[in-house]
Amino acid sequence: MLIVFFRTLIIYVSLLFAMRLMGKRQLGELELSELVITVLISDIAAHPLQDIGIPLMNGLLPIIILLCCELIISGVIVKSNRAKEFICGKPSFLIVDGTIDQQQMKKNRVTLDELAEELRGQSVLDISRIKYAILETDGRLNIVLFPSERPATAGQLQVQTQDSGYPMIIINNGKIVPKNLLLCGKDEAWLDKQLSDRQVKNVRDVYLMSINSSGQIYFAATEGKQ
Amino acid sequence: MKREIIAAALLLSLLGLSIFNVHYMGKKTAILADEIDKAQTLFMDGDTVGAATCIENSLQGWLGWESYSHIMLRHSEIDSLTDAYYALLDEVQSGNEVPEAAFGALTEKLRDIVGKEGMSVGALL
Repeated sequence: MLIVFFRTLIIYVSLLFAMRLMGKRQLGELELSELVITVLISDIAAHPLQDIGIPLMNGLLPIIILLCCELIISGVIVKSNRAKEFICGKPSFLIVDGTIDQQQMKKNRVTLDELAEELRGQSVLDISRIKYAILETDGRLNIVLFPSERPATAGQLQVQTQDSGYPMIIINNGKIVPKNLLLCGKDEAWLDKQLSDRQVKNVRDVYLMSINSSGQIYFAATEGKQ
Repeated sequence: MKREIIAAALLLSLLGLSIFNVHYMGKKTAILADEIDKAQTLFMDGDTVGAATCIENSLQGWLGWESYSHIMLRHSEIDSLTDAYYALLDEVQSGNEVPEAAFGALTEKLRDIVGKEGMSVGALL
């Protein structure tokens, strides 16, 4: 039992460290090489945990080797487009100028149902509105509409808009975030005044309080406290 | 670039350590297997005590290597080899007829450890 306990901790920390080094992309969209490594690592790590007769080294060593390979391959991909194309493939245009490229559909083994599902997911029901539908190397389908079908922007309509800026969280679940308070040029006295204006006696009674660069405050009291 | 260089260096170091591990295990098991071969020769010459001493020396060498072998080898392999040592020692000390194959089986098991670790098409596939 004790061995299993410590082995699990060691594998867990190693996996966390490995995934951290692989970067945030690993958590979202996966390229082919990343997917292979993620699937492999999860399987390799499980064996020494389940069977204490297998040396932990048999689990750790492959994780380290895969991590090194991934770091090297991702470095090469960043440096060379040719290598990226070779390892990850290249984007495919499934729809061009409102016409489905059937050869590309076959080549990428995408069925019409799958394409329709993806388009519905992006609220596009009419294929003739699509200028390009691009199947990215990580499997996402990106759609570019014809310019006449794109929603007009405030700039195109020449409408003045106000930039509300980035909201800074000042109180997070009953705790003041001093760094953010300082960043938005406020102090504790200002905060006390804001709280007393809202009849709040204790910071712990605030679930969320944020302020944006135009000075707008969002305030939410903790449920059941007010 | 720094990360990639560190990864490549780490990968090469691991490769180096793996090669060293195979050589180290080969050397170590060869010493242990030689001792068993010596025990077999002595036993064939009728020196049961000398043979038992040689097997015991080899067994002590094997047991002394346990912490390293537990990190590198499957525990079932280690247990099976230790059992084979004690079985042979028992047979030799009992004074009964011991077939040559019993010595051969133990040395084969020792050499098999390195065989599995060494680079060969069989081990790879």
